Amino acid sequence: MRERVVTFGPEGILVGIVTEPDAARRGAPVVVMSNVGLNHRVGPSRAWVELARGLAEHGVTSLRYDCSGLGDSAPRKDLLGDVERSVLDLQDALAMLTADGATHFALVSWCSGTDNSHVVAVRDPRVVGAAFLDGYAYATPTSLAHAKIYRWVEPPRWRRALRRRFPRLFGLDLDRQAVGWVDEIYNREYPTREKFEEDLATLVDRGARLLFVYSQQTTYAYKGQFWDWLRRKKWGGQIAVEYYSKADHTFRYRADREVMMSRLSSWLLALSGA
Amino acid sequence: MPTPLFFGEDPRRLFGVYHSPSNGTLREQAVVLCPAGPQEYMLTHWAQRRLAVLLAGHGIHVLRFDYFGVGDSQGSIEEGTLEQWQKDIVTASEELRRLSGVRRTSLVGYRLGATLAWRASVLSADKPRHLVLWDPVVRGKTYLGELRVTEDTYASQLLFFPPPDDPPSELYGYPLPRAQYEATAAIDLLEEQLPAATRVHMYVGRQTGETRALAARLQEHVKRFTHEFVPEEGRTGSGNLLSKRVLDAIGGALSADAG
Repeated sequence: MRERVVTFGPEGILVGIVTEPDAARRGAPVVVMSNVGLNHRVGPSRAWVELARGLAEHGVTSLRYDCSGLGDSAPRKDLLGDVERSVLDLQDALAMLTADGATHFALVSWCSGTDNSHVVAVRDPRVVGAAFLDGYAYATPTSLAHAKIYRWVEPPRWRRALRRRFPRLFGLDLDRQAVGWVDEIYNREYPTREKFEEDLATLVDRGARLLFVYSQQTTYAYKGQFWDWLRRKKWGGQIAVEYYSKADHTFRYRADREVMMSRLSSWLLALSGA
Repeated sequence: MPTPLFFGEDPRRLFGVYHSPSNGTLREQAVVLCPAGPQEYMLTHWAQRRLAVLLAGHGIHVLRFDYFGVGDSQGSIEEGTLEQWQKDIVTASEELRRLSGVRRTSLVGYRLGATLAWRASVLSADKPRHLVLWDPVVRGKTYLGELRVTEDTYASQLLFFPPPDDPPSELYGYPLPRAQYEATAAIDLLEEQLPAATRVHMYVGRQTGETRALAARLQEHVKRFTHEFVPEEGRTGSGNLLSKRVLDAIGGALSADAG
């Protein structure tokens, strides 16, 4: 396995690391990852670094890079919105990898990083797979019942309220200034549910495979929620959904992270024919 | 334009970004930025970049880098030790000398990085020209206690989290191996060998008994020592908020030395 720095995009402003295996698996897509929120490219708890190195052990090449203006990448000079800019960045990343010999790609994204991945995955037929971690989620009657009604009878919520009120009883030492800043800060501007389903159909009908991962710290509230918001019911087994009901948004705790990363890694390896 | 690169030897290659002087005024000054420890790495990455850009704008060569097992550098966090990270600072200083052609480098360390830079100054064959301690970890036990409070505060927002263990085996989403915990807990800059640098500067965002005691110790024993209290401009639930004032203060101190 070897890692090398790459710079690409307009005037080479974008910075990334390509991780290459000693022996590349023939036909495997190049896996592409970038920033999670405003954090730089290594990923929460170094997730992208570990994923890249683990994939390389199985013959899969990957790129992790910083979008313009984040991490080590300089800002673009054009006055575009965040999503438009990050779409251009991702397209520049694929162009750089293509010039290096890559023919198809798997995109892995997390939180707001799913915005550009979603757009590019739909537009670019060379994208054969995409994994979205805490990406778009839509309400259903059952999820609304969780949010508005069931919450009042769910023991974990009462336990949390008690923990905040009497932290010492639970072995916690809290910074009172910081407690209660926000519960669910991960809402963004989503495509309409109809547009999302239309995009999904475009991807699936051209043969792409998709993985959606959800944590508890989002509006995703129960295991089957994904399927409940779609009108189309047959997706040819090309869509996989995982709901980790006890994990936080960044999979901060090792036990949660290992389970999720193992699933993500095996999904990517299956996509690569490994 | 900053230059990202790997340096050092396999299997301990380190990732870094070299910022060449950007305003045309070349000073005989080169600064290695020593980042915070793994737990505060993500929170402070942007501060490192901004400080590097600011110093390069003052005509100073800058190298910022990731410790072994952290960020894009080789190795895993479990393999990282304080001793290794101190050596990494020496390796980074050598790399910066090679890149810049400047013979004597300076060290700017933030939080745990300040403590590591202090120790690395003693290890280096050439003593640093400046050692800047930015919110240094004075006593490891206090630092670990602060990390624990932030960790618990984060956990209190969640519906589920693993029961806290003591000593913690992970903090801020990063494993904390027992040896790393014990080595960190043993830090005490009020007792350790004094740093070897021509000039020592200390900037703190929060005055505490420990920072006052450290300032008093350095005042007494270091001939060229400056100390400035630069209050934090705010505070968020996720910890430190970057203060532009402290960046300006550090930039001002280093650029005042004509080199």
